[in-house]
Amino acid sequence: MGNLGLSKLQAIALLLVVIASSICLVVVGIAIWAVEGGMLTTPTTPTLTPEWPTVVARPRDTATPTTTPGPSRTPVATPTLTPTSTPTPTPTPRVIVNNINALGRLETIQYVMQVIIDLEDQPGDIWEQIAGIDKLLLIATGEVVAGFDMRQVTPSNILVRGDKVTITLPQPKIFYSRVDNEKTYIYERQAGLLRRPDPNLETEARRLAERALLEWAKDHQIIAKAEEMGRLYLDSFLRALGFTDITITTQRSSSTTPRDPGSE
Amino acid sequence: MNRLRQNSCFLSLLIAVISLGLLLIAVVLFFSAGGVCTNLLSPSPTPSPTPRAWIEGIRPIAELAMVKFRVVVEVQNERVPEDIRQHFGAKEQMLMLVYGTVKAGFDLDKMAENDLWTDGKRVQLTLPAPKILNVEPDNKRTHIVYYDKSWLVGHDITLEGETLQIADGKMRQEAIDAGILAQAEKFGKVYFENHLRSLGFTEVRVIIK
Repeated sequence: MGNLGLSKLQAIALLLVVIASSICLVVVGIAIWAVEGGMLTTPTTPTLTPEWPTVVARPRDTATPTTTPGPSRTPVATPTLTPTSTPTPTPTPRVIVNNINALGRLETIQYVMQVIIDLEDQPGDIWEQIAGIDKLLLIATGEVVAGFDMRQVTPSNILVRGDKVTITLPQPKIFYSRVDNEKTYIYERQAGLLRRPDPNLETEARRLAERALLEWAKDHQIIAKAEEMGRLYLDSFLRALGFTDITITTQRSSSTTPRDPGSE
Repeated sequence: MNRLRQNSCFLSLLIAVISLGLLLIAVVLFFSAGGVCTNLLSPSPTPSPTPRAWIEGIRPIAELAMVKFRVVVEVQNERVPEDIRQHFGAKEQMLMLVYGTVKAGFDLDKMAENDLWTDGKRVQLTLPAPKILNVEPDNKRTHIVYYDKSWLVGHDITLEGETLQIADGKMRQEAIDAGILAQAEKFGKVYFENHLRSLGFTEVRVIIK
């Protein structure tokens, strides 16, 4: 100590300063960790939506055509849809519409489901093991919709003979699976002591949820249901048009496709 | 005297070592809260064995989707604590690029019995007004462009969900502003006219409410 020009008392004082600053830093570190919510566990009360009421397909009876075609109609204003309120206003989001496609999809069945995704970053090496895991529990609500792509129905798929009609539909298919962002939430999030939560983990969990919804719907015969409901709907629609003998086939089940211009 | 000097020297060294240790722990704790360690880690997400799923409802629908708009929206969202920490610039912020599709068409379930009239040769169909059927986010392409969190705030588990909800609303509004409903109406008319003619009707009238 003498070489540094410090007296013993000064050396001890210096050491005391070092110790005090160390303790302060430790306290600050622990405080920050505590502010973070102690490993970021923020349990929220899960609000499970009540069971979806099953809507019975509206069987439209054979229409009895009225003789006067022109009921007076008052034009109804197109409903203006307002977006969800934004609690934290930030600079106006930039939006780009980059593609417009014409569709002709008859959506006939909708499965509404919930899925729980438990996702975590497994420690890959010793350092990650020290840093700790990053995991989350996502409760996702979403829907899968299926039906018929009616653009594939051409005049050659429609055969009309008087009151008899035969329509060949394409195979029903799943149009989309979607995670409902309003009803989807993180139930629990945990991150290791030395780790900040990975912002991409939730995005990945949502992707997995969407995939899980799709798989689950496939396993529970959504295609068959879509076909059944599509047939029911078209049958009632065609009856309302005055057809009495209706045959609806799908390309999968019918070996022969009627060949007729169909505009008799 | 020499012994006393040796003892105090040893004690000083010991305290110095302990202090350094404490200092190291403190620094690690300090920076881990700020997220410096995150950059050193390359996480590999692993899902739990099988996601649990259950059905909430099966709903027969009769929606005819006529048009879809692909939309990209850039949304910035942030959380600022409502206490003294805000004066130190403490916040969590996120910039997301959200891709999605907005579809519009007709809800055919809304048609009443008298919306369809025919005398065998002529047909008149009255459709309900077109509407936005759904906003479908493309989770494969949607991603976080920028994320930052100061060490004074914790991670808010609702931030990303809320950002996506904002994006949904913006995509919906943008599609409406870009005329998706008018397009749906136009395509719907053509679609039904063609199909009704294919069914043998010579005179077809399609009216949109």
